[in-house]
Amino acid sequence: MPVPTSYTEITFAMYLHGVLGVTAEMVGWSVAGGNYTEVINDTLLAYGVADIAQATDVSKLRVLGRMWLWQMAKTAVIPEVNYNADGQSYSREAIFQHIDNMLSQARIDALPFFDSSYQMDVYGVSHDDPYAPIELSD
Amino acid sequence: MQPFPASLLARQRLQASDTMFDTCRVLARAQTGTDSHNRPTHGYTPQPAVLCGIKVASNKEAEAAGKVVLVDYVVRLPHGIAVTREDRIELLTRYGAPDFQAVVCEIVGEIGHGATAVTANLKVVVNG
Repeated sequence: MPVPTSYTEITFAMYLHGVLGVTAEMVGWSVAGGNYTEVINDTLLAYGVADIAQATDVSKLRVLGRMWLWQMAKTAVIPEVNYNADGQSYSREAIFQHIDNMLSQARIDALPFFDSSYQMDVYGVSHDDPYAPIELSD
Repeated sequence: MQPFPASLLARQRLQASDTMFDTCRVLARAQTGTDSHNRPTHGYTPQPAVLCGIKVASNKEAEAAGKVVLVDYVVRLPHGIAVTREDRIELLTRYGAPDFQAVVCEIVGEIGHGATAVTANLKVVVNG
């Protein structure tokens, strides 16, 4: 199956719906319901284009889309808290934590696309312990 | 600060009903006529089956008519269901298991009308 080289708003919404997976069912989001419209708007604004047809870097589009997707999903599940009611215990905060983790990963994935000068340098760290035993020799 | 929003309450009621994996029906108590001494006689009319949540009670006591009795089940019924403490409840299925034997219970003590569900203590009817 060839990888996609372009998206329309509908096909990109379908991609985002697939990324959300079972969480989409949980928050009640659907492509037909237009729940991904604002995610796509934010994605295109972050990308810097006015129309999805102009977003030719598909990798960048997908990564930015995932980041805004999880950001919006996190907002949608703010009411998911742990609570007890009528003899029943509900541990809903795990949903929030899962989405928070996915958002953290998506932000890391998106970092290279935010700033063209983004780079990661690794430096060696030298450590000098002044309390290390001194070798005595004479 | 705004009070507890209605949308959050509606969400919690939906979560409460989504976690009801059993079925039961209310047997509504109603007068059916009078006996030879002109005293009212009562019967129980089955209402439509509804989803509910059944817990087997373990060493749970409830007060009813001045007596403390051990209850057999605690049931969560859908919020807003019409039920009184004179009614009975027939437990029909548990987790969809086909071998569950339906059992008729009477309501013990007060019915709890909570924020997300109606709760009742039940004792299996053994005579009548």
